[in-house]
Amino acid sequence: MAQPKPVTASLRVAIAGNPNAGKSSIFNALTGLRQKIGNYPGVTVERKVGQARLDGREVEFIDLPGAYSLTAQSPDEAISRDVLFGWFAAHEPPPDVVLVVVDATNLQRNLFLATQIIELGYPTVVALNMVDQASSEGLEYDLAALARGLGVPVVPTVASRGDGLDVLRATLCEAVRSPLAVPLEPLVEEQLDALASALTAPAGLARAMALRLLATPGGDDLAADRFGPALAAQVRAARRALADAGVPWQGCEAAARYAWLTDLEQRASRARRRAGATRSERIDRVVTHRWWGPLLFALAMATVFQSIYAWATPLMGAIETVTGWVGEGTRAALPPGPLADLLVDGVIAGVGSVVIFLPQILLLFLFLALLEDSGYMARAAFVMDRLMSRVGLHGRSFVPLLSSFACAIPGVMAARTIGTRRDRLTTILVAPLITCSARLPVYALMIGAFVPDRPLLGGLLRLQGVALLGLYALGIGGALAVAAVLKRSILRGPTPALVMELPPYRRPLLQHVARDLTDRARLFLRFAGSVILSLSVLLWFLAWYPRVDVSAAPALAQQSLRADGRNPDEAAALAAETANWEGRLQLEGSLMGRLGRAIEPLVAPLGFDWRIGVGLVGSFAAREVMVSTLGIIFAVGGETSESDAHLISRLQHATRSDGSPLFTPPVVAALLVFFVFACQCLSTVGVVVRETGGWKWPCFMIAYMSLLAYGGAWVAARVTVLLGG
Amino acid sequence: MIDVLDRVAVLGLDRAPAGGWVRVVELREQAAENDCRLREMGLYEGARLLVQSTGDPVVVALLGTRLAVCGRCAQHVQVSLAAAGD
Ligand SMILES: Nc1nc2c(ncn2[C@@H]2O[C@H](COP(=O)(O)OP(=O)(O)OP(=O)(O)O)[C@@H](O)[C@H]2O)c(=O)[nH]1
Ligand SMILES: [Mg+2]
Repeated sequence: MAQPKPVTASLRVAIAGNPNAGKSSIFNALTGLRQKIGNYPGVTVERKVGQARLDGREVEFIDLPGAYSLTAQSPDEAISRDVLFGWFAAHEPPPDVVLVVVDATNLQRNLFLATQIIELGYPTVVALNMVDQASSEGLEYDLAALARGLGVPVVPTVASRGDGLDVLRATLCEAVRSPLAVPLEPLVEEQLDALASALTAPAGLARAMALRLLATPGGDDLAADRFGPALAAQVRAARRALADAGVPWQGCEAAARYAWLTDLEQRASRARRRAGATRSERIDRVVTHRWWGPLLFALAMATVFQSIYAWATPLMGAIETVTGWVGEGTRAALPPGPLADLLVDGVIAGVGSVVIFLPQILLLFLFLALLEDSGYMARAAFVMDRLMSRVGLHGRSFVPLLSSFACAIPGVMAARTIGTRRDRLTTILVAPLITCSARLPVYALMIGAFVPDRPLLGGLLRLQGVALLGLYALGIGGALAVAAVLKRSILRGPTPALVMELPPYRRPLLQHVARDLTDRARLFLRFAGSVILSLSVLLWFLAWYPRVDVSAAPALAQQSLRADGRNPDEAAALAAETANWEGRLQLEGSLMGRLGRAIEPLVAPLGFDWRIGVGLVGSFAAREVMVSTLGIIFAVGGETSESDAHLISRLQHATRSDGSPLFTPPVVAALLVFFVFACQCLSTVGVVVRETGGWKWPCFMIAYMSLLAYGGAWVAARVTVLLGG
Repeated sequence: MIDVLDRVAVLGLDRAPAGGWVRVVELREQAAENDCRLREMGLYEGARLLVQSTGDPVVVALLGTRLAVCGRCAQHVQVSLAAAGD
């Protein structure tokens, strides 16, 4: 056996393994960081780095995306391969030590990759993770026999509980290089020797690279990229030689390696899995059933949107009451003047109107976390695959699209698990159409204000929840339709197939879900306290400056009261109406009013007035700004009803200058549809630029989404009119 | 290597009966082109698997895990029926 490598200064440890084996869980436990984890393959798609001290040494841990083989077939797997081969970046050397995380419930399949990695010849340690689950299934292994067979230390762990991590830490300092090389057919070995001798690398690494180039689809191109055309020609020649001898290069590795692993498992196995259907299998009989599956999925979704309304309402009421108190208290404590106006009408109205939606956003994330942690995600992918394959979308696109309900950015990133470029592009381009959590405040505000809270189907559903579900469905439908068009035109290609591991169902870890939600809440509040706060101050200033002469207000107030058939001499009514007119005159004369007038022609065909137009401009910085802008506009503009000053009732009472209501059904419909389709997120555009490697596709995305948003809004308004709205 | 007897009745994995053991005989070219990485996940020539449910997807148990394979891909995986014990 090889000698332990004396490790000096700082150490770089790469954590590799199959998808869903628990790599990120181990990484988190070792570094104290909080990488995202979840019970489905393909959670991590980037390489993440974290530091820790180990035995007095500085250690850098690298959490890698999961892979089934070093024969990388998708961008996320390619990251793992490149880091392990030292190809990742010119300035980044290969790791000093590799920690391979192996799922003990699934030993052979996990060791397929593990042996490939051990063969690279780095000092390696195997963490045999999920031993809790394995023993509950009756599985038991002789760790010494495993370690002997693999030639590296094997440490049992339960990453989710932190068991075995101390031993793992200690063992990492004693990682050894193994001489392991699973023997392939003699003809293949011959070709590998020839290819390896052309590479300048240590023997183990050279053989492993040669095998990758030989057995990867597109390995000849990879060889050309990395080593030049001569090697690519050599790879093609080797494949031809093998094919001529009746050994297809595609299958030259799997059968031999699995045969070797079967043998190893037999030697190392102490107790086999108990017979009989597992709980997961029994659940899956229903969940992946042809009819029950889709039905359950639809039911789950309906419940989610229903509860986003039903459960959040009390909490939202509480937040609203508190912001109301804070506003009144501030107004009372300060002398009247610009400072009080800034704080109450700008900061509190702006930030408060967004913060109110925290409960709904947390509920959405709670459901997503449950979905990810329970293991249902992989099943839902298959339920949706039948639908998505009809429009030519990859079944793997489901996970990216579902992540986009939280935010399009992780959704776009998750498309890295998709192997074919066309399908990856299609997924990236339609992901921003999926309703992200930033749209939720806008939807919730508009629905809360203009959709009556009526029971449907005998109280089973409520109209507001159904309206919300409808908007989400419109986003999904739009995404599928656009994907269908793309896959039949500029990104034409066959519909790829879906093969996915079904992870066992697990009870979601409460502490994990709770941590997820607190992180989310912190992020959201920080966003409200920074972006929304500063934009609120800016917007308030634009509405407040320059000061306008409002001396005409009392006369106008008397006029409008008379027009309404009310008594213009009643003091209270007159005072309220005068305040309204003062606000309105100020707003119209302000910088914001002038800006709004300039863009009004653009939005007028949709039935929007300049105030909505200003909100739309703001929403291109971040969608939630629409809500805070409306909050400020209607606070400054003094659109107060006498009963209360909440934004919802202000919107309900908002009028155009001719006194007619501003938010008529066609206007609300157009506005909502606009938000369903519009590309209003700079960060998403940024990520798409990075992931597609240029501006071409992001520009295309902005263009088609803008067209869809404007056209869709226009149609929505017309249809609503036709329907009698 | 694949037993000669196994070649007797070869059918697509999508048509294999639920509850039966099968052995992979051949992966048609289309299966690989279709972006599914069957061999590395354990569906290599000669692998033995238990078909748990058929339809779309086909769910198979192998090597202690369960894989779901969509119908489009399963039809390109040629299998033969195998006895439970072999
Ligand atoms: N029962 C049990 N569950 C575990 C253990 N380790 C991790 N898990 C769970 O397994 C799931 C996958 O964990 P992750 O850490 O996200 O796995 P990963 O290898 O990083 O996965 P990818 O990033 O998708 O490649 C999560 O639901 C964890 O909570 C363990 O030792 N025992
Ligand atoms: Mg991970």
